[in-house]
Amino acid sequence: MSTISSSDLDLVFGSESFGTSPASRAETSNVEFVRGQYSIAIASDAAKGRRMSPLEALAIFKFDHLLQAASEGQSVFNIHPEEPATTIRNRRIALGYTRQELARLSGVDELTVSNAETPGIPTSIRVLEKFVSWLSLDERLLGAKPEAEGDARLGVRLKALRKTSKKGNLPLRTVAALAEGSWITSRQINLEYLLETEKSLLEKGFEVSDNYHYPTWKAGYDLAERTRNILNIERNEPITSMRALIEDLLGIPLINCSISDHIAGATVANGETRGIVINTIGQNSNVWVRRMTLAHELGHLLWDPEGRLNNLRVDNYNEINKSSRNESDKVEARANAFAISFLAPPSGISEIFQDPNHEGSILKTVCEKYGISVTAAIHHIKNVTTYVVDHKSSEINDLGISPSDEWCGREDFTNDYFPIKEVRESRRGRFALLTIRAAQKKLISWDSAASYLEVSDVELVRDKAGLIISTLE
Amino acid sequence: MPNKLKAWFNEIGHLDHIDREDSTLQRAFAVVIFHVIKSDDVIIINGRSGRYPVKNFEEMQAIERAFMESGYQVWSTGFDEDVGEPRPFGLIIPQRGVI
Repeated sequence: MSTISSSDLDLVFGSESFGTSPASRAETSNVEFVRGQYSIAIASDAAKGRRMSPLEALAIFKFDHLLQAASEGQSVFNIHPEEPATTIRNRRIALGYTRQELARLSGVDELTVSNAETPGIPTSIRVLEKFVSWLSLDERLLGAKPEAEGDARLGVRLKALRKTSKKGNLPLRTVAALAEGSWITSRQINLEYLLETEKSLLEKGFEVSDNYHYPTWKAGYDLAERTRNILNIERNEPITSMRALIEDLLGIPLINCSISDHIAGATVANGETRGIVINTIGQNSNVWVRRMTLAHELGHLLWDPEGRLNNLRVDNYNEINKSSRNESDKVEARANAFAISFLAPPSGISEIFQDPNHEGSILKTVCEKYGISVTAAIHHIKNVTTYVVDHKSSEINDLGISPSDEWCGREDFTNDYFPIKEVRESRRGRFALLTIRAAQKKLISWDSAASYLEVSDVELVRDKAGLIISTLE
Repeated sequence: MPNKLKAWFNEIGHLDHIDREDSTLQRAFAVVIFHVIKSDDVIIINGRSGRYPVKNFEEMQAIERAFMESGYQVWSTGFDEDVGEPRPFGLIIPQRGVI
């Protein structure tokens, strides 16, 4: 095995860096690289492409490319003369976008999309990056790896979903949000990996279960109990924040977005990674309903086998609002049973019901203790205790049962307040936190961090980094 | 590569800094200039001289303009502002005129 000379390492990473391998030199280097459509170079004032930290560049490109860039001014990395144009075109078609639609999503004109899809036409990497999240492609790999290692199955599912939605064609924005959710999922898991904070669900003890046997709700209840045990949640204890549990405890990307008002949420997969896309409008604007949606999606994500998820599972409010005992789709029935039982363990409901000292409304107590909606609580109380809350009673309306500020704050905080206003809700939360941490550790450049957050002013992101960290930690 | 073009490719005196055996490069030339090569007054340039590399977009444009004003039909690979370097042959279709 040939060793790399010290002078070559100096040439690429600067003489101030130290170590005997490219990786160790990259960690201590102050040099930045810059990539364009086809090539990479050492960053200079004249270069306007995407700046990359040494570690970021080394993760994508071979050392030989970086050496050539340092010695000859630039190094061409694209794997085929028709790339990345062909990848962009094929991916757009796979996801079912017209050129006009991709242009509209990306804020460019149709000619720009057409040029980007034509081999041999120069297009700035800054323009190409406008497309990648809507196409769920890894911008770092664009031109450097076949199809930028995009998940082909996701494209097929999104396209099919758009055409076969029960309510007619899914709106463009919804398909785009799900594709973007897949992109964020992939990036977020990669950031967790770079920061060595990734969490393995398998290691925690979550192995998918193909048990949907009758009664399906029982399987859901059992999985909920198993989940609470694995996560060491005490018996009958409420889960104070589903957001924190999903993102911080389980390390599952959670992407907020405002999409079609009949869609509650979805699980998305990008290759081996899975995330949850949650709609923040419609019924989910009530955080108790949203918690139920999140628990439902978590049930899918933790326990459903890959074949059941099929890369993408979209749930509308009608499905999630059904009692698990009235749902004919056993996958949905199990997820519904999981969700209610995970948030409000049946033993906890029984305890409230049987408490001789209990005062006031059982319904109100259940909702406020466990953070579940009135509708969900009515079904759940009946299923667990056979006690029927009169739907028409004035009790429901007059009790003023609604989430407290504490409930809203715990679930909504990262959406409501973010130090940079222009950052969209889908990019806030843990994704933003990890992005900033990675930039601070030079795992990615500040330019990449700003690009991830869709902020044009790199210095603004750098200036607000401390505030973002203190807000989100 | 068509014979007529290959003959031109081998004889042209303006392309001092390229590897004429490079098949990717030959294909690029073949696609772009097969229909336009009719005389010696056509030139395809890039700014990647080893000795005097073009340093920025404006400098590249000035060179393109200078050849045009000398009577050449100019095709150029232009300057890649992303990486701050002139584009090499073989990556993009050279564009005609000042780009």
